[in-house]
Amino acid sequence: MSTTSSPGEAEPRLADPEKDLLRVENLRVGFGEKRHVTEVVHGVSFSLAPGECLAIVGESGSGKSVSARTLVGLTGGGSHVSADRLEFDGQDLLAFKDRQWRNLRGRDIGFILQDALVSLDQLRPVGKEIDEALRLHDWGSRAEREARVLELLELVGVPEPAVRAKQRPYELSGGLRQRALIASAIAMDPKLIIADEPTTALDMTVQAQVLEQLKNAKERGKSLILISHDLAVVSQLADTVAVMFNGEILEYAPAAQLFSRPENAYTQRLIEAIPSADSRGERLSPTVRRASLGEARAYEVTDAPVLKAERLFKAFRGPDGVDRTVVNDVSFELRQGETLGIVGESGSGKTTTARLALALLDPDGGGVTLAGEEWSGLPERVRRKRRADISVIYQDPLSSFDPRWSVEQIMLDALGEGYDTRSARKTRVGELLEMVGLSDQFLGRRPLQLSGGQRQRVAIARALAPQPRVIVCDEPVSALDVSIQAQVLDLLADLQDELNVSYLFISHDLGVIHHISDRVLVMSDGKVVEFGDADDVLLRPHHPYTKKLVASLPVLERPEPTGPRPFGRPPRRSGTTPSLPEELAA
Amino acid sequence: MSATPAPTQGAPAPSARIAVPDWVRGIRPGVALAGLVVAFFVVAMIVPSLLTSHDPYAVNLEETLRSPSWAHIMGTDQSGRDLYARIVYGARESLLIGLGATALGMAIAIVLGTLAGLGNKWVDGIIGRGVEVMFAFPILLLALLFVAVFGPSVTTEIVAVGLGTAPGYARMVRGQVLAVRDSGYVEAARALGHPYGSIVRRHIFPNAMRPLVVVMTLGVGQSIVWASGIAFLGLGVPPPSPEWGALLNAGRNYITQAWWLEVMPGLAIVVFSLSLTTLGRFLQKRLEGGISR
Amino acid sequence: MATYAEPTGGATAIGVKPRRGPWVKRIAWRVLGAIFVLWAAATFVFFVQQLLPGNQATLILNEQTGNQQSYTAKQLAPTEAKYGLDQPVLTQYWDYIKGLAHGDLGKSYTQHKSVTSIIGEQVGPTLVLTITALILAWILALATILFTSRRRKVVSSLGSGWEIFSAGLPYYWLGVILLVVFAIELKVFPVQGGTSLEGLVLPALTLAIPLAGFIGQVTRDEFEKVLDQPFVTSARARGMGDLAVRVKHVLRHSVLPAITLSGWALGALISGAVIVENVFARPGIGNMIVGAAEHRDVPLVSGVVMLVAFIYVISNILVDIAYAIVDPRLRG
Repeated sequence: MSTTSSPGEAEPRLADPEKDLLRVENLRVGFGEKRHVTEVVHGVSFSLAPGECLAIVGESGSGKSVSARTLVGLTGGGSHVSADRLEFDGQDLLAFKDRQWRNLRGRDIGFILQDALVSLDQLRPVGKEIDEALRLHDWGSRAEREARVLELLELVGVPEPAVRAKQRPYELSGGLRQRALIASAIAMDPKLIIADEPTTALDMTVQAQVLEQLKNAKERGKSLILISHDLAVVSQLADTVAVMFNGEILEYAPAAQLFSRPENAYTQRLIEAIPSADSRGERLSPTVRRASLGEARAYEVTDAPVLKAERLFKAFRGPDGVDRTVVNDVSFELRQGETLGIVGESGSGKTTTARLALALLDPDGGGVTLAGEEWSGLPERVRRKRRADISVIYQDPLSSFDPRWSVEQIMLDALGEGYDTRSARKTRVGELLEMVGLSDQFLGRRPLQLSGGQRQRVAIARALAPQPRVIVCDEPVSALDVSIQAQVLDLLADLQDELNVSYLFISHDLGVIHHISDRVLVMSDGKVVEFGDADDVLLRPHHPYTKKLVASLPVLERPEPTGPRPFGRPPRRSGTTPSLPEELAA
Repeated sequence: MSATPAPTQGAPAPSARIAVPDWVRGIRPGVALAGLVVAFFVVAMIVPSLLTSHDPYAVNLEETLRSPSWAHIMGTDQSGRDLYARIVYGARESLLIGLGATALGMAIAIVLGTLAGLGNKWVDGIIGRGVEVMFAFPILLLALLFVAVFGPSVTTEIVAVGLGTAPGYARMVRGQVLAVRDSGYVEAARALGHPYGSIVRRHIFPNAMRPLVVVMTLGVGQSIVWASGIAFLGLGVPPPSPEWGALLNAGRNYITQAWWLEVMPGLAIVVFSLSLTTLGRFLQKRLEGGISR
Repeated sequence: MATYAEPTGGATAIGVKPRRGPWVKRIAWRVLGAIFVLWAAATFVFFVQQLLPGNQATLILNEQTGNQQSYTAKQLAPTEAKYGLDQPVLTQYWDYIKGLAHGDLGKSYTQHKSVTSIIGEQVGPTLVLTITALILAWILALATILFTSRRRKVVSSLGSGWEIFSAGLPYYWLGVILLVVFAIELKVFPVQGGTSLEGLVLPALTLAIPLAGFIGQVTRDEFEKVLDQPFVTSARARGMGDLAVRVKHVLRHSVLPAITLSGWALGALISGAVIVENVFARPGIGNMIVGAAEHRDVPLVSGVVMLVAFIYVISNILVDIAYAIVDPRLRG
């Protein structure tokens, strides 16, 4: 892997290093006790000019977050930081003592991380949290601080600041509490704001609001360091991008250049891996399909729906004793060999819809038919015999496996009937694992001994075991890094091509949904707001909610294909590029 | 930062993962010591004569209330009996009382907890209320009530401690059962079409009961502490017996002259229960980590 | 319904849905529940008494006179009448429950007084002892947590090791050690302190140290979990010092399980007080109840048991209120 960054070479942007707000050279961070230090950041360098935004991008374990935290001295206990240069605003951070760090934090550098529901103290009103940032730096009198808190809330666009200041994070909507978090970070008007995965785990519309606020801050002249795993998010703000992998910066370039002409193979692969409208029908990962299907056979594609839901209703009793309708008049049809995507924000009722389709929940009204026959209305005893026709893949495969069981036990358990001998069952398990790209060396492993991508492959193999017509996929890639997500989405697409299995695919991610679905169902507050062909719904939305959703999706302008691409984005099931082990990216 | 272990470390033989050395590695000295202590008392329980040559009942009026020395490492009591020998011989009754009380408490807890965890909201509600009522009776006061009604005896002691510890265990069992019942893998098994009975037998029961091994280990120590507390008050095993609580009770009258009569039996109880706790915690880590290795 | 990849480790902050409802209704439910627990406890105690082997009146007369003999029906009659033993069981039960509702716990077999008045005379020192011990235990536990949790490895393991060790200490043993060292050898405190202030120190410490270990263990687990929460990093990133972060943010989140524990602990402390009062020969219901049990004075022992059950339900209501003060999410 080539490295595009080296501190000696002058980047086009770094014309005047003396004016840089931040200069980091050869930064190394390790964790552990005395002799057992494991280095996780291996000598990274970057710099930042006033008013600019640097994005550090990478997958989990790349060291991006740790690198950013060294700038505020919050790498935690047992960490060892060294660098040739670590300067902020002319001060040498390496020589900082505890007191100086405390003066720096909040006053000169604001730090925003993650979801406000976990990064603000739940037991205190948000006004107190913002006030704390001022009080810690002895800013003004009590009355002045009170006024400043309201002013700050107004600045980040919180309506009725006087009321909101007295409320606690859980009493505020997602967007408002996220704004309050930003207000607490910019309270002392710091020169630099570091945002560590500021949009992870947020609903799309809230994510858009957060990015808007960060953009505003930048327009007010703040410098910004944005840490993210999401290239599309980064592309909205960054002037410069550093791509990190395994504790090293692989590519460091101005944003426009990096996105249009990525030089490093890993960067190229990350960009290729993003599912979107453009990637429909194409591979996302450079892996190539080479699996035999064993005894599996493909279903015939017909026009008759294999899964049909008619006017489903489901209500749950809330903690306050009031019934809340979670699924409200939902109908859909799924044909054999087709993918129906259900997209919506948290609390929209999509997971409940999935459980109703699986008949793990009984609807309060309406019904589901499976392969043309009654399904949801049957007693469980009868349904059990037909469960082989419909199976499920969960977001978190780990919790869906009995922790005591090995992969082999999990698979044998899922086979169902129709195998005479133990060896026939074992052969079949081997075939299934091969179909999802796992060798039989995984048979003896327990779920905890597998990586995230391997677990999801086992989950897919288990779902395939009873030879289902339909697989319900409930956020199957949401917990995965983007490159692993690409492999899993490719695998699902390959299996559908080969077996004509149908997917009911649930996700909050519009890009994923658009990539994989033939038809799309948009849900909000338990209701279907729009239903139709994927391109119709997502490229030409009619309903205001769908429009808002589509508008909030950060879109990465893809590089125009100029000449042959490194992986060439081969059409499915062709090409001879050697497959890369997923560990490379894990 | 340690990710999942690499697929095969060194030799590719898959059986190497469950080989013995892995078990032994990582046992820290404290845990090893705790293991030795527990082993010592188990030997004392089965063949006490292996551990001492003194007769725990031999009265020797020449040597009454001697402080610890080489001849009597824990001193002698008011009748000149060797205290160390009495503690060794007392292990059997003390341990059996602890085991009996824990077994009783656990049995009640497993029945109530499993019923509450698997039953509908009415069953759960009724058992939950019942358990709350049981909580209103602290172990020692329950024991005193039983003593007042039935008179002091070993059975009273075991029943009181068993009943007194049951509600705590019951709540734990219920929590475990509920957590497993609502887990992803139970839903996955349902989605595969397995019958409920088989899910309970193959997933819920084994996974919910696993942590109880640890709880039992910790529980035996606690039961011995409580049972000996009852005996300390003179309401348990009567004095000639070398049961640890009885020794404590006998020594109370000599506290100003012979501290060892109180301190040594108490030390045996503390060391034993602390060793069990250490082993229990070690076991807990192993059970949790055991899956991941 | 979690449909998103939730950030890991948000156990305390997320997932807890605020439970709402009018204050009054919740309190009313709690009080009703408490009355139910008391009634069930009384029923249990009453029927355990009915299991008494042999004739109750014979036992009473024997205990009162110190004899071991049998009596004729005629000799037993006045005793049976005095304690209501000649009534049908259900009538006795009804009278018992009715009496309890009026604070009447029955008549003692061995002392010619009502159980209520005997307990009334003895309960003061015991309450002083247990409440002092509870407060002391909290102070000890919090100090240990604040200063040893997540510090240098040596300090942290010393702290948690001490908690495991002290939580397992039996009251009788700890009491004897403190008595031997500080009263008999060093003579810092009196061997028999009665109800004086110096006499309170050792008994209260004996009760407090194991409880502090117990509270500490529970709180430490929670404390270390909360220290890893993003909102703690947020507070540090605002420029807050370590101790301030611990006191102002982390502590409040991590004491919740230990508060629950305290409701149970107050009942258990009275259990412990029985032993401690005997070790230190301190007056109180603990000292009295052992003698009562020995002399098979069933009404007196039952009376104390009911008193403890009462304290248990009251302290649990207090715990609920304390909980709502610490965690406003639970407020109506």
